[in-house]
Amino acid sequence: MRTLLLLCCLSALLSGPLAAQTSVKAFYRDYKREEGVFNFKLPGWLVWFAGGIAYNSVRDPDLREALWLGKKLGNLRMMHSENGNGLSPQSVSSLVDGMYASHYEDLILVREGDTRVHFLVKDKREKLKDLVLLIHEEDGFTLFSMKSRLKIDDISRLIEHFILEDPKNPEEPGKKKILSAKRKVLIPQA
Amino acid sequence: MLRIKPVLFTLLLAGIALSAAAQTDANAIDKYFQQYVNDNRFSVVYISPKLFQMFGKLDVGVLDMDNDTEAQAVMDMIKDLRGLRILTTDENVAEFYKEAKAKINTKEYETLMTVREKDGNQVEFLVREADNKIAELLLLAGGPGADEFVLMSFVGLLDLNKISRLAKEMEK
Repeated sequence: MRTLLLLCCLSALLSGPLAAQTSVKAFYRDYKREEGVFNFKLPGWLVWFAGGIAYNSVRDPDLREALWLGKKLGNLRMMHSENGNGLSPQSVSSLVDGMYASHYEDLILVREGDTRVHFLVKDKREKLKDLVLLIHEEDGFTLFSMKSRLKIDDISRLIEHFILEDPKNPEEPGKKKILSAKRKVLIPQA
Repeated sequence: MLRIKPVLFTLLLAGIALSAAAQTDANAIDKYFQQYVNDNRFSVVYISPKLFQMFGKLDVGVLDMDNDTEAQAVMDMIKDLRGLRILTTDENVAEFYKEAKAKINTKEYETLMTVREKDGNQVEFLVREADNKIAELLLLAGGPGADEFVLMSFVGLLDLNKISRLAKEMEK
């Protein structure tokens, strides 16, 4: 009897995490070939490889910064449909419930009428491992899913780069100012 | 000699009991929000504690706001926020307002201000304090004459001095 109870408790604890581990992947696989659905997938290794090659070839600081970001991204998946090819609310709810079971958390949730927007994230050790943006309307939907190794410091660096480098208001002629959030070092650009 | 099976069994039961206990810690307003967050009669806006936490970790010094004191005051306030929840509906306004009011624990929440109109429309501001700071600012609007029921909850450790500073900056 005790062994049976022990096994029941173990299965109750484990069934949650195991049940919905690949919900986004499964959803993408199930719906990508539906009529009216546009989809694309970019493997992480390709993003990393192409970004790495391009990074060494370009000189434009904005592009280099964007490519540096690209090296931190993994698998990208996108699905989009419109003009009446929407998903049923039940399938969207099922996807979202599956993501909650897989330890995704809502960063932002907005719902009005038949429209809902979820921006979910799964993080580990302060790295944003999985990001999902789901927009569902009556006549269409968009799903964007991305794996990454981004940290908050990386986002700070991006904000810092693209906000400080305002081409309309150059602070010093002939010189662009790039400040590192950690080092606060002025890097002169030729 | 220690018997493993009873120890494991006890630990497992304790683990299940603890996780169940954590779920019951949410207050009545949390439960009210959770009750209606998936209800199609309501419009919902939810910004999670996690997003505010991430925002708080951003190095906002790089945003170069030395000359913009209002923006600095806003950023100071946002860093203390830990969540925003908004529920609104234009169906059964009086009923939902009455239900939400009944859920408020008067020992936890204190009324800051009430505005009541002749047609029965009512707006209330309530606060929940912790450690001499405002842990939650709650706005409830509705009533028999109202077109819309609104429940808005800001969660965080809001410093009244910062709120006052923001109010002054906005008045300039």
